Amino acid sequence: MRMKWNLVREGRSGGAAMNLVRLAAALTLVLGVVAATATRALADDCLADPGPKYRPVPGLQNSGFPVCYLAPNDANKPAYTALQARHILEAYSQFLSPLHLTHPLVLVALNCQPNFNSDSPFYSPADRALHFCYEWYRDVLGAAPTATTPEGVTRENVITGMWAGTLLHETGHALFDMLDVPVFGREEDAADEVAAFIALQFNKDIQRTIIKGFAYFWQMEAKLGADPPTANDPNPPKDAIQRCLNDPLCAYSDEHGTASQRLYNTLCLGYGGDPDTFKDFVQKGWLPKTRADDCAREYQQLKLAFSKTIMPFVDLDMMKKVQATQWLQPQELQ
Amino acid sequence: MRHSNTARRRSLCIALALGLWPALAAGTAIAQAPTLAPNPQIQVEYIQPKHNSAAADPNQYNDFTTIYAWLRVRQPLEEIQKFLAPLRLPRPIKLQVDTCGAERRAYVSGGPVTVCYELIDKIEKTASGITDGDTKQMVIVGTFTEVVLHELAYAIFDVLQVPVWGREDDAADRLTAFVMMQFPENVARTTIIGAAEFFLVSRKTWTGAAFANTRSPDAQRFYNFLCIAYGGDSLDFGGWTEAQNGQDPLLPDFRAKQCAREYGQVRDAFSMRIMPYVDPDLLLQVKAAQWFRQGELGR
Repeated sequence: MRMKWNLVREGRSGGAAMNLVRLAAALTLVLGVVAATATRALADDCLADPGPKYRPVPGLQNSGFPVCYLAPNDANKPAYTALQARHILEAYSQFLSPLHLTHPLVLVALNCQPNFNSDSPFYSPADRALHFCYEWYRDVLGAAPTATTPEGVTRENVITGMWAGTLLHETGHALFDMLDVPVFGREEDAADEVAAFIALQFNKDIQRTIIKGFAYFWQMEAKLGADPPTANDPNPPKDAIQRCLNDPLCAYSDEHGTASQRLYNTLCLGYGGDPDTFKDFVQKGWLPKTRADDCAREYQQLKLAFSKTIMPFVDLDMMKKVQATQWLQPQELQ
Repeated sequence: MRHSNTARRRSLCIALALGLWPALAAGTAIAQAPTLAPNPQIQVEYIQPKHNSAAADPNQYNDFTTIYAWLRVRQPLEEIQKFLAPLRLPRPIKLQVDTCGAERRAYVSGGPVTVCYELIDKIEKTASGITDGDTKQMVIVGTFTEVVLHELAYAIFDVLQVPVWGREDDAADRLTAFVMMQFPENVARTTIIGAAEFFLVSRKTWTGAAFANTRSPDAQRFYNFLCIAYGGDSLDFGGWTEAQNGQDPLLPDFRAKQCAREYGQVRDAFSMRIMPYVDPDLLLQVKAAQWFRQGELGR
């Protein structure tokens, strides 16, 4: 099954670029116009909490991350039930609580189809909201391998890695926007760096679960043909975006890196941040030695960037509590 | 082949045609060497080429010697010293041309910035395969400028302790393209189009583990340069977003729509993290100076 994401592009099937265009148009028309009242309107539509009572982690309260579950359609009801039972918005709100942003960042779970034509979570600058698409729940379950891979990646790795990776990636976009972070490189790579860096500030189990799961996801994408094609399409599609993504040159015009680039970037930051924990990446040949030699430097550069541009907005005491909290359940870890 | 190099080259030059009158004006300008004092913190050296017995091309040493002789006469690095006059550096940066045994030598913190004879040689050989004289000239001048600024960006990030989000090589490219866009149209066009053309004609097919490279494929760099240029000046470079002769636009619509934002992002990052080290009065003198010599810029 192919998925529709804005975080990732669909390679030759070409949906994500279209997603971006449609998303931008939808945001302009729907959210931009009502941005001033979006949060209030959203609050009116939020579902009351029907699930077991959420027990917040003590000391991690921050009203800057309000949460909201919007009503799911019939197809998304299983996702809503599962996400609500897992208290994913509430937990992520607490996870982000050490951050002191200049405005609230709304965490909202919703049907992303058909209004946004996206299945994956995304940050919307027009209403300063992180959108958790119900559709992503189904897609993640469908994408995860049923058996452990030769690289030692389990089904649970991928499920957790895809959720954590995409949420942290989109949080990166939110931070860049709301904190006016200077971004010299490509923002999509920078958002991946935020995801990897934050994951690497936790214990080894969490580190490995998220980094391996996210990396596997990109490897899977590459194997499904998401990297740019190497030969011309003898029958170029009529749709201009798909025609571009099927072209060996034009496919590189995407603002995202290729699936394989994102795979190696993720592996590299893991290995660079903790060579001992991730040494099997090199030993098993998943991360080529030539790249591995540069990874400690790349990680240090990322650490400097994070320290200079995001850490000033982080409450250090709360951050330590977040780091000491077991956010993932035992079955979600590798 | 739907997108042949020839077609691409024709498309790239659409931007030139659209901006014809300023190009003509530039062509009649009297070239004069900038009178700015060189930045004392930038040291330059052309290291005499070394013979490499393992080189695949036995004539390589002779080619490098020719380049070495040209560099000593033309003195492009001395011009870079003047170009960087406004930059207040807390410690010196050495900029050198050397034999590397490869096209590029990675910058090491605190070390020199190296432009390799191998890459200059590749630029010349790539340009020699281009039949259009004007494009050939732009490739040589634009790509050489791109290489020097790109390699210098690594040292500037290091010396100024600039926080670099995203892959550093892409950051160096975006900074380079942004700097090129701060100059008069004829300089911006020559350097941007020349560098982009080089990426276009020298690109190779990437698969699998090739993507592990810290540097991006030439095709990606090509679009990044186009996007920063179009984002910075959609009037001068607007031809890239128009369909020509039944072909799709050179810069696809979905990327073009992002480019003003991408350009603004680099401009904001520059303002925040590099401008504090730039003398604003000297910067205006640099922008007003006539860079390059008569005949070096594209028409």
